[in-house]
Amino acid sequence: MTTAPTEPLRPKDTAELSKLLAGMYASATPVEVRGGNTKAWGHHSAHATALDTTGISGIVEHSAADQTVRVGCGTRFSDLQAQLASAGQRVALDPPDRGGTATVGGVLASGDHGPLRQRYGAGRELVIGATFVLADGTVAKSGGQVIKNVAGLDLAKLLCGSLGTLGILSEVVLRVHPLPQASATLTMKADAELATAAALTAGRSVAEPCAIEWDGEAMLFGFEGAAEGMAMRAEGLKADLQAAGLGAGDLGELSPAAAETAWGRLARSREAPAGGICIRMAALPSRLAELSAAAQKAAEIAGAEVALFSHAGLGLTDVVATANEGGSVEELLSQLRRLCSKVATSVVVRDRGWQGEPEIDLWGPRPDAASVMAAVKRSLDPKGILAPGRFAPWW
Amino acid sequence: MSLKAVRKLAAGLLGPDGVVEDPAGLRSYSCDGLTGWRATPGLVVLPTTTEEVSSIVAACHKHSVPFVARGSGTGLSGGALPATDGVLIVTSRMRRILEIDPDNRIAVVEPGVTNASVSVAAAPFGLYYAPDPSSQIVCSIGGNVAENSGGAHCLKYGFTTNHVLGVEVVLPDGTVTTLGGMTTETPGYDLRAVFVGSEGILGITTKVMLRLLPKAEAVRTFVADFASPEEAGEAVTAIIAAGIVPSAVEMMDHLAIQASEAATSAGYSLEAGAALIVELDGPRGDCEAEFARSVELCKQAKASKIRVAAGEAERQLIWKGRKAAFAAAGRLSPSYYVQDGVIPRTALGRVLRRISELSEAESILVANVFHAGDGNLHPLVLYNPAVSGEGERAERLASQIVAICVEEGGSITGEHGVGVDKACSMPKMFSEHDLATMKKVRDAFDPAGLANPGKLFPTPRLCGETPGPYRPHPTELAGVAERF
Repeated sequence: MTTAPTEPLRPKDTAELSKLLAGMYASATPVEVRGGNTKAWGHHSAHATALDTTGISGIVEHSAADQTVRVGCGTRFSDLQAQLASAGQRVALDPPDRGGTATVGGVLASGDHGPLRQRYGAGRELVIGATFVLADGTVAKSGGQVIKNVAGLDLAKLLCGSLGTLGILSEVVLRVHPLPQASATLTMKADAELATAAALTAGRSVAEPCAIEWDGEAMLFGFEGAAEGMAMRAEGLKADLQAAGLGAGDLGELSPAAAETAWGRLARSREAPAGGICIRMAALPSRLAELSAAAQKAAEIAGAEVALFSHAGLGLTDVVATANEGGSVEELLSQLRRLCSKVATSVVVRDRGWQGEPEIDLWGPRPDAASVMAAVKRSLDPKGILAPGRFAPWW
Repeated sequence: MSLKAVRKLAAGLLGPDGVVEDPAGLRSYSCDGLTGWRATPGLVVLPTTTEEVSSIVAACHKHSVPFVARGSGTGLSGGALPATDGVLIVTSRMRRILEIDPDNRIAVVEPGVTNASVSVAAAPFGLYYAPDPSSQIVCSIGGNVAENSGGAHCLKYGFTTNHVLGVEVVLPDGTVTTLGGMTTETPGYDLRAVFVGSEGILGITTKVMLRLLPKAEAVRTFVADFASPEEAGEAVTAIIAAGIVPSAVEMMDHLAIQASEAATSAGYSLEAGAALIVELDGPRGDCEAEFARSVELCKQAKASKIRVAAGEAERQLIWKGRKAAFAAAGRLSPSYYVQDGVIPRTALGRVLRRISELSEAESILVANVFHAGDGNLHPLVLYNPAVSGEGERAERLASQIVAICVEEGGSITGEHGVGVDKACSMPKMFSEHDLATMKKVRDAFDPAGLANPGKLFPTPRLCGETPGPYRPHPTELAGVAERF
C-alpha cells in the first residue's frame, strides 16, 4: 500500500491535473480532491493522496452582457463574487462563508448553498458548462458558455453534489445575475407551528420573498428587487400572513446593518461546532413542525443539545448538535432517523466538527436509485480511485 | 422473431386498445414534429400504467428489441423517430394529474399530461408551471422531461430541469426507480439532472414531480420597433446592463414580421426592421418600475415606436403574432428549415451579418425569429422544393448557420434537442472525449443500447466517418423511410 504524501498535489491547470490523474489511475492510487478544505463531507480514506485544486484559479472570461462567467474551479468563491460585484453582478448563490476559503469547485461539488436557493436554486441551476477530468485523466466537457443549451447529457449538473467521486471539476461556466438594486429583510417571532404555516404562505405569496428561513425562534424573510417595489412587497407579505390567520403583528423590518448581522449569523450557525455535527433533513415544507418536535425528542433521548436552522420554504432543515456529557450524537442521528422515517425523505450527516473518520452511518437507508448511481460511478471511474468509499456503504 | 415475443406479451397485457399493429395505424406514428424523418415502427404500444411500461421494457430487454418513447409527438429534432425493428411506447394514455399539493407547491403527474393542463390544474391555487414551450397546449410533460423543454420565459425562469423535483422512470432493463423525489434534496448523485434532457436514451419517464410557482402579481408587455435587429440587440444589452431580467425578450426581423402579420394581423409595424417584444413580470411595484425603465432604455436605443399592451387581450395578440411566426413562414415559401442554434447574445449583430451574406450567396431567403434575451436563434430558411437544387442549397445554408453558432461559442440546439436531426453535428461542439464520457453515463443506464438508439450521439451508420452535408439515412436507403 502506498502512503499518502504529506504535501498535497497542486496542479496549476487542466492539463497538469489530467496528467497527474492519469498517473494515479495507472497505479490505482486513491485520490481525494479538495478546494478550500472547508467541507470534508462523506467518508474519507486515510490512504488517499490529496489533490488540491487551488492552483487552477482565476476568472478566465466574464461576459457581463451575456450574463456568464468562466472560472477556474480552484478560485475562491468569495474572490469570484468580489470581482463580479465590481461589474454589478454576482452568482446568485450564497453558501456559508466557512472561513472564506471555499472554492467554486468545492461549493458546486458539495452542493452547498444558502437561503437564496429559494429564488435561484442551487449550484446545479446556475452551472451551464463544465470542463472536468475523469479518474483516468480524460479531459471532458459538457454544456457550453451560453445560458440556453440542450446539446448532450448535462454532466455539469451531475457533478454538482457528487463530492469529487465522478470527476474533478476544473473549469466551469456559471450564469450570473445582476446585483439587486435593493433588498429588505423582515422578521417575526415564530414557534415551529407558526413557522411552518408562515413558510407555506410566504412560498405562495406574490410578494416573492427570495429567502424564507426559520432559526428555531424567528422567521427571516429576504426580499430583493427594484427599490420602488420593496415597501409594497413587505406590505404584501404582511397582508398574506394576516389573511392566513397568522397574526404577523410583530412582523418588522431589520435595518440594513441588523439584516447583515442576522444573515451572517444564520450562515455560521449551520457549521458544526467542535465535536458536534450538522444533520440535514429533507422533507416537504409542510412537515417542519413535525421535524422540530422529533428533533427535540431525539435530543432528550440521546442526551444532546440541538438547534434547528431551516430553509423553511425549501423543506431543508439542519439540526446542529453537540452531545452532553454521557450523551452521543450517533444516538441522536439514529433517533432522528427512527422518529422521522415517515416525515423526512432523508436524514444525512453534512458537516461534522471533528477530524478523522466517523464510525457513524452518514447516509442512512440506501435509496432505490443507488444501484444505478453505483453503475454511473463504475462507468466513469472503473478502478474506483476518486474518493473511494465516500458514499459508503452505498457504493 | 424477437419483436414477435414482445407483441404477444403486449397484446395480452394491454388488450386491443393498447396495441397498434396494422400497417396504416403504424404509419401514423412514423414521425414526430420533424416530419422530414420518417420510419414505420415495428410495433406501437399505448400503456396506461408504470407496471405496463415496465413489463414491455423488460420484454424488450430480454429479447434485445430496441424501444423508443413518444409523448405527444411534437418534438422538432426527431427524438421520437421510431425504430423500424422496434417498439414505440406511446405515453399519451398516461394522462392523470395524480396530485396538486398547493401548500408545498408540487404537482405529481403522469407523463402523457400536457404541459398547459398542469397550469390549468394549479390555477385555482394561484400557482402555475413555469416552462412554456410554444407547443404547450399539446406537448406532454414526459416529452418535456426528455427534451428539457424551455419556452419564451426561460430567460428568467429556467428550463424543465429547473422545475422537476423528481422522476419515476423505467430503466432500460425494466426496473422502476425514482430519481430525485418530492423533496428539494435527495442524497446521492443527482441523476435527475442527467435524465432530464437525455432524449429518451436513459429510460422512460412514468411519473413526474413538478415544482409550481406562484403566478406573478403583475405582467407588462411592450413591443419596440427598431431599424435593424442589431439596434434592437443593443437595446437588449442596455436592459440587461441596467440589472433588469425580463421574463421574456423576443425578436422578429423584417421578413418574419411580414409573415406573422400576413397570418395574424397582430398589429406589428410592417415597415420595422426588427420588432422587440419585452415582457416583465413579478410583484407589482417591481414590475412597474422595471417596465418603465425598459421602455425608457428602448427609446434611448432609438426605438422608432413603442406599443404597450393595454391589457391581457392585447398582450395575447402580441404573443399570438410572435408564436405564429413559424407557421406563418408558410405564407412566404412552400417549405422551410427551422434552426435552433444559440450564440452568446452579444454576438448577434456579427452573426446576423454572416447569415445575411450566406443568404445572398445561396439566393435563399432567411426569416429570423429569436429568443433575444438568451441568444437562441430560430432562422427560418425558406425554399421551394419544386425548384431544382433549392432544397440542397437551403440545407447547406441551414447547416452553415449551425456551424457559425458553434464558432461563436454557442450551441447547436437551444431547445429542440439533438435527436436524429443534429446527431451528426454533435462533433462540431463536442470532442471525441466529451462524447465518450457522455456515452459512459449512457452505458451505466443502458449497456445494451436499446433505449432510443441512433439519437443524440453521432454514429458512423448515421453520419459516416466525418460529419458533413446531408446523406440518406440507412432507413431511407432501405426504402422504409423518406425525407422531404
